[in-house]
Amino acid sequence: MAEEVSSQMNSLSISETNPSSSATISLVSGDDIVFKVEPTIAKEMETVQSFIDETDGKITTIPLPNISSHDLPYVIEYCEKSIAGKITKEFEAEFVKKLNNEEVKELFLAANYLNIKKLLDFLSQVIADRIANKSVEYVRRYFGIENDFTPEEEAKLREELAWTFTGVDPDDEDEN
Amino acid sequence: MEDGTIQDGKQKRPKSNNEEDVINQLPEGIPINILSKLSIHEAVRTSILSRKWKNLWPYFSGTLEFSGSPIMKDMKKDMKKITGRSLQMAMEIMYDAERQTYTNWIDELLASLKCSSLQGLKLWFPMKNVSDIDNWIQFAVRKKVRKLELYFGRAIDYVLPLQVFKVKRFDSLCVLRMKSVTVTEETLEYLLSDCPLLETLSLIDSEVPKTMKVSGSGSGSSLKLKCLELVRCLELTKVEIFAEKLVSFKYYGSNLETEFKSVSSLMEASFGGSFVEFVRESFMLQIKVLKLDITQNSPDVIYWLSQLPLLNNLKDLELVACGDDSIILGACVILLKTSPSLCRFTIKMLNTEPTFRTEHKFPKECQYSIKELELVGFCGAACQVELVMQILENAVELMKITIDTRLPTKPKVRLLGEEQFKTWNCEENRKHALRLKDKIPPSIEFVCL
Repeated sequence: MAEEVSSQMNSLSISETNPSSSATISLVSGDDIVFKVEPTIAKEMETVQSFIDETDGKITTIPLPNISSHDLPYVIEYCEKSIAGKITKEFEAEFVKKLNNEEVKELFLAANYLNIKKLLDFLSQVIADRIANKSVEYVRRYFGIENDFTPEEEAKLREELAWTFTGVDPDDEDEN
Repeated sequence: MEDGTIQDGKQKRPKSNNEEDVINQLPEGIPINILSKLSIHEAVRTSILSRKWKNLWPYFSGTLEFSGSPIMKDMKKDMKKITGRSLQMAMEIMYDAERQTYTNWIDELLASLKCSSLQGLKLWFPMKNVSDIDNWIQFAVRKKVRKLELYFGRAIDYVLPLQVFKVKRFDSLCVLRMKSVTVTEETLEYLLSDCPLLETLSLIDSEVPKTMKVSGSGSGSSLKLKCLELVRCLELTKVEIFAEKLVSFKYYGSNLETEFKSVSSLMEASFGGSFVEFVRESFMLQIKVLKLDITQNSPDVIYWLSQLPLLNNLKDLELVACGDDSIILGACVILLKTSPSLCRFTIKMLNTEPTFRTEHKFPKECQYSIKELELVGFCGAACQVELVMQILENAVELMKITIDTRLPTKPKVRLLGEEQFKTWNCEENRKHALRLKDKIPPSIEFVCL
């Protein structure tokens, strides 16, 4: 597989010198998989678009070292729907159903890196929904936050903020 | 679209256990994005996560909702139960004290918010003190709130304060929903001409000018308004609407003089109360989604509905009805006949007597176009079964029937009192629904809720 990919990379780097031959943009994931997308999709990704603009459209292969080939198709799918004006509640519900907590966080980071405002906003809502009514411990584990309060400080804070603890659900067994 | 091999779907990427999550290491704006989607209670609770998070919540930019403290809500319920003047007075004093604590808490919370703009502010609980409310509205203007929702109970006569908007323009406002809040003619004019983003205006049980002019400054095209709802605004006698972008219009109330000048975008309409003259509006021809609540209409609603022209564009129709079954059946017949392109038909029925049997027969002169039928409030009444069967006979393209055995949430006017609703038995109704299913051809999808 690695060989196949690297040969594709070579052929793509060759096509770089001749931008007029191809209108599509090639996005290369962190694990070296190439995804060809329409320029309209690239426009949705501000980071990619500004890269293209900076090079006057001469470079059409864009390395995205922070994004894995697992996450990129999701990002592309969302952008395609967005351009088509087909982001509906139903689509979003289906989209998010496929994703576990880890994947949601990774996509969130990808959306942040690519600067796709709509996707970032949507995923913020998804994450918020997933941590809503969860215990402090659950949310710490979710974000991997280290508790740096002393037990006394935390007890005091919990007392002060007792009013915020109405309606907290017990932790689920399954966290992902 | 994609080249190369994609990794196996759920494969985990390596991540060492003690590595702190990257979301937590991102610039502070990122967690703020997330906490702004939470309720303010939960956003504040994130301060217990860690020292870093402790300082983040004041940058909350989401929607603040205040609907009274749990204690206030409990007290309201108790106050309804108790009798005896002295006890009631004592309760009221306690309630006032609790409300004072609650409003002080709101003020403190609002004062600690550092974000320059807020998505929404909802204040929905009984109030007594006008100046407190005025301060909150000032806060909303200052914080560039996009969505404002206000209700302070019926005991207070609150007038939306125009003087506040004169000090600083409320140009962030997109959605304004108010219940029992007075809007003067000048304020209405201000909202429509000086809030350039205003898309939704909803007034329920509110005192409004006798004649409401809904148009922008100058021409109607300057008005961005997409959704207008006027529900039980009793003073209203006339509306003049000149709003090219208006998509949705709702009016519940008594008879009304109307003047619709330029409503070419109007597609959704909703009518209720005793208002029936909508049948003569020329925009009815362009309506795609129509909701009719005939629960407060007298039998002459049948006459009015028969005045409707052919609604060629109507795709989705909802009928809320109660009372005389022959009126319901009659209304269904007329509406189905006048809607040749209808796809979805929803009937919400209230307080139907299970034993009542109607003599009303459906004429079989025309075929209905509907593909989906939904009946809410099914209790197995003979007339309901008959209604479904007769629609079935005339609707050759029907693909799906949904029978909802729950009570429709509406209306607030409970004609038969609470008794009927206590005896409502979903289990029993579901059995009736399954009996109905046996009569329906298997080619039609049957859903029972």
